[in-house]
Amino acid sequence: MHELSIARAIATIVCDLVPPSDRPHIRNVTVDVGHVSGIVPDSLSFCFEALSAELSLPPHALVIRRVPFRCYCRPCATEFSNDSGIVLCPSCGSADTEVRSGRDLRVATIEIAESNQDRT
Amino acid sequence: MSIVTVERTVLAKNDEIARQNRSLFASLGTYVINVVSSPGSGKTTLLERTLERLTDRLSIAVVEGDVQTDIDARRLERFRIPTAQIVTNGGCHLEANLVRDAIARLPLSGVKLLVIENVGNLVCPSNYDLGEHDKVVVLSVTEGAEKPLKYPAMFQRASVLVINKIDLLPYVDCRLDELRANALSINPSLKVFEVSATKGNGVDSWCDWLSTKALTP
Repeated sequence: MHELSIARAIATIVCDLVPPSDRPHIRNVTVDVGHVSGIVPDSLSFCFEALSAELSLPPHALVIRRVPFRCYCRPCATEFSNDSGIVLCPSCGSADTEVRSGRDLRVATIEIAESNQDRT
Repeated sequence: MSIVTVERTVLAKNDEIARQNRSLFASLGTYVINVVSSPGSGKTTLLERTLERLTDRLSIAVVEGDVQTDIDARRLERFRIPTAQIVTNGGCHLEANLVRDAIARLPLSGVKLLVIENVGNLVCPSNYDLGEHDKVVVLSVTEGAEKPLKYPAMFQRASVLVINKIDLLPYVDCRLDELRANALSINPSLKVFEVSATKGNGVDSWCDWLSTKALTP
């Protein structure tokens, strides 16, 4: 259950970048989570929600974007994808491949309501 | 609405401390492995067999990570080598700052090999760089040949796979060639050893490889 410490790391990044007075007005914290990053999105949302009160962050601000696993085969120049993170090319069997996405774990953007109109 | 572009790795702070650990190890000339596996795959037994063979060849220190108790660290007392125990009190993995604090308690000068035995868990430790040179994943044949496919993150990030308990192959439904193929399909550059830590099969070649790594600058 390392999602709690991942959620804490996300919250720390948010608190580093957003001053306390703006934190209640955060609309979205968008996080890219790779399909083979070893993170369970539901657990991450649950942990973020649990931490939000102590940090004055909106509990449902976390938006998780799942990043599919994508791999590129150099010899036959095909891009392929699967659910297991297998890096062997399904077309030619080569192991000379390059993972292009799916291992991501990154805070992408933070959206903050600025005007009074946005904040209501 | 204002949008702040962050594009920051979630574990950037951990990774920064891991970099500091790594540069400390480089300045000391210490080769460091982070040993990961599920609970009960035989990490500590493999470590005991390794220490029996290597303590007269090179200077070794150990960081033991456990959720609770210092049972593993006490198992290693007979080797009389510098050992630091990290008890995570429920934490399912080691983080770089815990390792930084633990190694501050160890006399690392002259140590050629530092073994960090992570908490037994095949998922969580994969995300945390500790500053090691190589991540060594131990998988016992009793766990089944499909584990690399079920826990790909760990096998992607490891550079060495030690397949343990091969003496039990006649009694379990696990084919070694299948296990090996599954692991290599996730990470084709894995260096693979097949051992029985309790019986001693294959441990010499693992130890030879390890001591070469530790003694080659």
